[in-house]
Amino acid sequence: MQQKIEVTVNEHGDLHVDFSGYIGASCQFDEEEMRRMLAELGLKAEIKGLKSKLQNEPQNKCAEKIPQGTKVRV
Amino acid sequence: MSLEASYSTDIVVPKTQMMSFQGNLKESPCMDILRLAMKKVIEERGVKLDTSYTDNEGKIIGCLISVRTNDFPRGVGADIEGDGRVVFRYDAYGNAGTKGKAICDEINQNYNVIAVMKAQKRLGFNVDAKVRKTSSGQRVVTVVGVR
Repeated sequence: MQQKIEVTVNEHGDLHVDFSGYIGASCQFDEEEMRRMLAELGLKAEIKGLKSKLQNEPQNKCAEKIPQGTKVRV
Repeated sequence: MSLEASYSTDIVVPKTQMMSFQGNLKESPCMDILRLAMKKVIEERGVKLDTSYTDNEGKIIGCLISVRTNDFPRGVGADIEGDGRVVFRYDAYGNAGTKGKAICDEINQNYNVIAVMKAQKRLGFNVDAKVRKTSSGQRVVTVVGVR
């Protein structure tokens, strides 16, 4: 699956970043890596908000809620 | 899992660069980005990069790098503080504050866009950027990286 990072930079220099197409914790890794690299490039980015998009992804939400091995009546 | 994040930003030269480029910060990677960010302002507003700005009495004040534009010939200067923080300076006397601040915001936004594009490239993404104006006339840049 294609991974995508969409960054919107407004006039005040605030960043809004949307990470999509990730599986598991690799998204958090890229988020931290991107911040580390920005700091190396002289851009100190302070987190104002950070949220998982699981709630907007029904298939993932379902997978999260049902523990492995649980029997599901169809 | 996917994420949404928002950040406030400051331009701060990292300590490692402050140490290794001591006395010659003009050659540091951060200064390269700042130069590019200022050049981009000149492309849109005209005139030149310089190493000074002018106050309302015509006095020339030296700085690390500056930008002088057609609509703000006094210019906006940039310096690096001891802690690495990049500061912009201009004389706001006589209604010049709005123009000076607009140029600072534009440099800051350009710096962010260039840094984000470089960071995404380092992470192995193919990067593209698009500039648009919002309905209220604000300039917004979207950088998209795909891998």
